[in-house]
Amino acid sequence: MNSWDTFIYYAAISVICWVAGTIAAFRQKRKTAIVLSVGGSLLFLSFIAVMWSTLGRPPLRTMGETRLWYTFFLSVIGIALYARYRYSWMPAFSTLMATVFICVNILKPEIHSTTLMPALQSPWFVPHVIVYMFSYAMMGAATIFAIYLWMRKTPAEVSDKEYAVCDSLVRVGWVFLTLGMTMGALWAKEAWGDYWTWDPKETWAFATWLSYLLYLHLRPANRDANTLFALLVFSFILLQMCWWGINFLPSAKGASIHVY
Amino acid sequence: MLQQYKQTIIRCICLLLAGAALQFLAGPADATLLAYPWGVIAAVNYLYLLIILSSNREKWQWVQSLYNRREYISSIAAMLLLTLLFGTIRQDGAPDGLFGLLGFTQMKTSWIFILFLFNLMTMLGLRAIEEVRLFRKSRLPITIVHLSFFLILVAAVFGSGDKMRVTVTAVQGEPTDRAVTKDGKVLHLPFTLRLKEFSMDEYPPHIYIYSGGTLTKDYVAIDAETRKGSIGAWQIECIEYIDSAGRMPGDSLYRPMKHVGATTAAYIKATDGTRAVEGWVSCGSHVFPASTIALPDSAMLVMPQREAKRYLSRVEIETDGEKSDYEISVNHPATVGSWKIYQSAYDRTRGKWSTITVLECVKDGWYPIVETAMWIAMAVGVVIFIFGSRLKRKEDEK
Repeated sequence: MNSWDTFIYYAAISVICWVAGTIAAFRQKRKTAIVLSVGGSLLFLSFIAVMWSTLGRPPLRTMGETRLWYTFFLSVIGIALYARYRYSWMPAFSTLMATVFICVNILKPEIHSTTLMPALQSPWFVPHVIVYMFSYAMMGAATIFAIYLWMRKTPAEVSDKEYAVCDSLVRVGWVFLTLGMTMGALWAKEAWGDYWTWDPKETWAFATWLSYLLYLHLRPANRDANTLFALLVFSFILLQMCWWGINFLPSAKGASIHVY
Repeated sequence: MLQQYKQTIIRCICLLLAGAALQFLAGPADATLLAYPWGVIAAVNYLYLLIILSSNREKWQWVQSLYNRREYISSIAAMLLLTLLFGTIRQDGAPDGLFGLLGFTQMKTSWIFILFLFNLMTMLGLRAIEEVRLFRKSRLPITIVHLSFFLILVAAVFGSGDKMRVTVTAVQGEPTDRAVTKDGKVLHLPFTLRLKEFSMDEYPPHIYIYSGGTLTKDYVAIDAETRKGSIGAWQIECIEYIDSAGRMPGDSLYRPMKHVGATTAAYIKATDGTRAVEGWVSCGSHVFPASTIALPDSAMLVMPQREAKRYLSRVEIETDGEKSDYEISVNHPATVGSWKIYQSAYDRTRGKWSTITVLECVKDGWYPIVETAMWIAMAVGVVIFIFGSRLKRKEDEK
């Protein structure tokens, strides 16, 4: 039995822990919620560790493998936000999102290959992808939060504290986007001789980066929730294009060396 | 809101028209115009001009207007819009249609794209100089990030004419300095390169079922530990495995063989519960043909060519009469003077027995600036992440 066959067991127990944590959060049992959710995330991380050891390479190559990290970071960020800001709905959203990604992985694992092409065998591989996945999860949390604020009540009622949470998530996410992009550029120079080639993946990564940069520059003098939250949702759509959308984009077909 | 952005929108339209006019009159932008020394001269003049503008901002109304928040927001937004077009339009250089006429089918060389990139760089530069002039300790990380990105853009834009990328195809044992550019132009390198040996590590072979023109998604990997597996309803068992094998003409058996052209072969037993087949399966090489095992319903068991784990060229490079040995593999280029040499390809028909190697030699004199700025940006990024909220608090208190 290879490690992928055991995924469903790890995933099921993790989801049970996260759901129990979510219920505890709604019942204002903060410590229990944190312990249960952290337990779920640690179990999920242990699956990634087993996978790493079984494959003999970091599980970061295929879409299915990157979804594992995304799920893990999303759950961790959900708990962290709950622990820090006490939004009891946050674990519910991160659990829901994490469960969706787990279901996608069960239905469409895309983890068939154990090989790692020479270009991916670099010390930059692990930090580049993990940093990006962490950033994507931060942006995912920012988007959920923005949609929540947008839908909850009239936009004028968004408080300074709520904007500050949103800004912090985007700021940290953007810093990690920058780290991921810079690491990718340094790696590309070592692997292909050029740090930027406007490959479709790079072009969409740059567009995503610019879009969040626009939010960060618009925000200080702007409290127009419609503009800001629409921009955050739009940026997250761009991020999805960059992550997996380009695999289906006619303009990128056969033109990207980032399709695995 | 549109009223507030009126001035910036007019400026963007002017840039768009100027870019379109340049595109029609001059054709796609030619980076070689910035080849040494012109790139350096242009960069020095540009930086000097920025400093002059920056120090006269109070005197000149139009310069003052460039420091408006709306100006840099619009420069980011315009760049975002063009980047989205860049990502959406197929970059095949087709000259037809509106996008083709505007150069958007080869965005990298489109004047409109270059002017807006220049615009973003200038806004960033003015901002960075301003932050250095009115230095505030609490804004140090942001100032450094702005400066780093500005340096990256300056080196990327003004250094674009100095990038050189050529391909060398080296045949084992034969020294060569002949390189070919992307356009097929031949030039001679300042060093001579001789391939001493090409070698390749491969992943274990995979057994698939080939049916209806496609391979199954599932496969069985054969290596020292794994000899069994299943593909769909078929149980696959490897009875004998020869990593380096050959088969003499007329022979039905594969035998171990350490010789040029040796291939990989496995004796496989396959059963689906009711039917059973067995035989040799091999990926073949440029010497030996591949072997497959026929299954019912026109399917067959096949072993595709093994995937490369690592390929490496051992080369001797002679510069000014001095010879040095280098090992070049993917992600491990060699540095010779101002050149970097990358492993690119090999003779795929011969695979690990290839006697030629394809190397790419790259020269980019501006890269050290880009690399330094990227490392600084990363370091500051980490600082912002760790101390972000504290920095923000300090900023708010001011």
